[in-house]
Amino acid sequence: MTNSRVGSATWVIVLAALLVACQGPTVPREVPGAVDLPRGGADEALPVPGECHLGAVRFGLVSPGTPEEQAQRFAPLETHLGSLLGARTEVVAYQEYDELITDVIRGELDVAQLPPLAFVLARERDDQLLLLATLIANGDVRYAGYLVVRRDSDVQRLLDLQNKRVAFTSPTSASGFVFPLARLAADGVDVPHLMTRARLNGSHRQVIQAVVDGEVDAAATYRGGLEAARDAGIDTRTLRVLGITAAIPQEALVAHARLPAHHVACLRRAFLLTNRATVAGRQALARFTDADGWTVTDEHFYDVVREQLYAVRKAAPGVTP
Amino acid sequence: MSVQRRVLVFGVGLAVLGMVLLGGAFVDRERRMYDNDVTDRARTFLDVLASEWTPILAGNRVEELHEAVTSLSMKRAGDLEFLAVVDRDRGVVAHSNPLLYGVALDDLFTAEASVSDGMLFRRGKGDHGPYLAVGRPLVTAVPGERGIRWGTLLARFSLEKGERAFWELIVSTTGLILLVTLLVGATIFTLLHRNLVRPVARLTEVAEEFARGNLAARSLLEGRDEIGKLGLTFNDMAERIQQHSKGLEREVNKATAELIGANERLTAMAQELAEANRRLEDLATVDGMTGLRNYRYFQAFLDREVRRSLRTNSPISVLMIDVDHFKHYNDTHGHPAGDDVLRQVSRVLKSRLRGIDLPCRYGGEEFTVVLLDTSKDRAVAVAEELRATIEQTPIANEETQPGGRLTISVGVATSLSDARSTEDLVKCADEALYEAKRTGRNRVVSWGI
Repeated sequence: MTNSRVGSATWVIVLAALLVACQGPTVPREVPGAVDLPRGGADEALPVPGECHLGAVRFGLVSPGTPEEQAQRFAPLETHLGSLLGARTEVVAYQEYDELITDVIRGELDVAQLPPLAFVLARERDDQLLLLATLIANGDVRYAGYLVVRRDSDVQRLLDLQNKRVAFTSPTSASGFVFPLARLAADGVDVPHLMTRARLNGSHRQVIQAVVDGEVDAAATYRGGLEAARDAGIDTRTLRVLGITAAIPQEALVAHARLPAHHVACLRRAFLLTNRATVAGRQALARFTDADGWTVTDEHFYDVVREQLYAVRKAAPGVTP
Repeated sequence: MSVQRRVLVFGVGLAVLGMVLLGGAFVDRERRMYDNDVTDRARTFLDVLASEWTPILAGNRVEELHEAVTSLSMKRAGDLEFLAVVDRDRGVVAHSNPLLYGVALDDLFTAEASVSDGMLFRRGKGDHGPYLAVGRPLVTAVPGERGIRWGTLLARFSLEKGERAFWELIVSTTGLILLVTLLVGATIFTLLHRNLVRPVARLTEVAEEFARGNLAARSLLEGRDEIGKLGLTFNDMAERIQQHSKGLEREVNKATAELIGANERLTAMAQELAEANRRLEDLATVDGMTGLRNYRYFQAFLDREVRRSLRTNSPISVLMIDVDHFKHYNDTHGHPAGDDVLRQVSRVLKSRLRGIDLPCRYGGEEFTVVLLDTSKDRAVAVAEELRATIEQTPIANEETQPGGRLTISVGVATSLSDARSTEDLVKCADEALYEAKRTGRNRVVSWGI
């Protein structure tokens, strides 16, 4: 063996020893069944259980239904969050996005869950809104918007909708308006022209019903809307998916920056610990079927919403908020 | 190692080695492709299931999940040994075997898969043959975040059919490769033998024949390749060697002829020289007038014979002869007549002596005779015979000599008895001659008597 090889081998051994020394003791892997504690921000240490004594917490979200239905739906969640936050927790259900946004900006709410488009619009109004987490629904942090037509429709491609009647939910809906419009614009549809014939039916169930009934040629909705319509007795088997939008982020959990940091950290930790992977989480979300839990994301996760919104604004100024 | 063996070893050997390596690479490639294919199919299968079942598990819709697992397990009963969804505590949420619902799986693979962040693959061999166990976390997360892990999807696929098909493919392909190897090897060997070994062997035979001396041997190789050029070069070299050899032969023949001529001339010269030497020797040792050996020869001869006499104890005798009154004859009849007398005495000496005896002219009118192996008595007898012969021999004008006849006096001495050296022997003989002269001439006197 030459001297140069001996020298090289020595250096390799020394570097390997330094590398092992720098790594320190081996950290045991996570034990199966242990609580999967999601991490917080890079500069934010999550409080341990028992450190949060927030007094009272108001959590707002958009949820249809009567006050009694809301109370029944969110009671387990209020109890669960209350135990984690050391506070009497109240879930406040809103019917409109605007009101929800206004209240969280004004401080009427400690934490709010905003649909993706509402979150982007709220951030345009107040950049002090903090993104705590993203909702997990139907097992995913994203979902897709669909453009559906009747199976017997002569429409074969999105461009064929140019002179057709399309039903949308509302201009503040991601899957029911902005994302489908952006997809249509990307496929060459003249969106302003399209909008002259378009209908805004308000809810997903209504737009789907309109297509099934033949009132419109197509509708903008999403998977959850189709399932809800099916559950409501609408024969969705008569429909077929004509196009799929870009992936839409789930709803964003936000708090205002004016809240104390410890307060925000407690809120974030409480929601990240609430999911159906744990028994307690399953109990808390037993009646809140729209949520499977919350997980960590960052601002860029919602960039796609901004891109789609800007695309629609460019293609058809004035049709979106 | 012969060229043919080298061709066999290196050419065919390399071909076989190449085919073996190719076969090995093929098997390895097929193995990896098979492994990747199995793994990819399993990955795709579980990915699809995960996308479908994660929302169900996240929604805790256990019954729905159970139906899905059961349905799928029945559909794929052939290769899917089991399919299961476990929660984070490894408790079975859904399983191909419904009896396991709620049971916490404690096997090592489930434990590893439950904490693995990615898809986990394990190969093993069970009661039903080889299998592939796969675990996939059911997670909801955005890229870069851990998200929420709802549980783990577990599946085990039987690889028995696939492995069997794989090895059948390997065996058939190996056989094909072996056949191709043999064909390629035989083809390579044949081509190399035809184009390389055989031409080289032929060239070698021609070279050996050439080396044995047949300078006319020539290669029949042709062509523009290296072998052909080698043959042409050999022929060119052989031609040059042959021409050079012929030239050398001519030169050698010419030189040999010249050498023979020179040798003949040299021999003739040597013979001439020997003859001249002999003549010179004769001139040096022969008396020119009488033809007898002179005094010089006599001395050398006597020295040699006296030594031999002493060595062999065989006597030799010396006769010292003097012509009586020769001065008177010379003065009376002139020197030419005197010379004739001397020549006549010489003829008598030559005629009356043995071939082994030596008559010499000692000087003037004196002669000596060396008698080999002769005792004194015999020497005296020989001397007396000589004296008598001279006395009786008619010589011109001898009547003018005192006594009316020309006579000689002789002194005899013999080795061993009279003397043991040349000088003494001659001296004794000379003294005996003197005594013969003193006592009246025409007589023989023996020394010591």
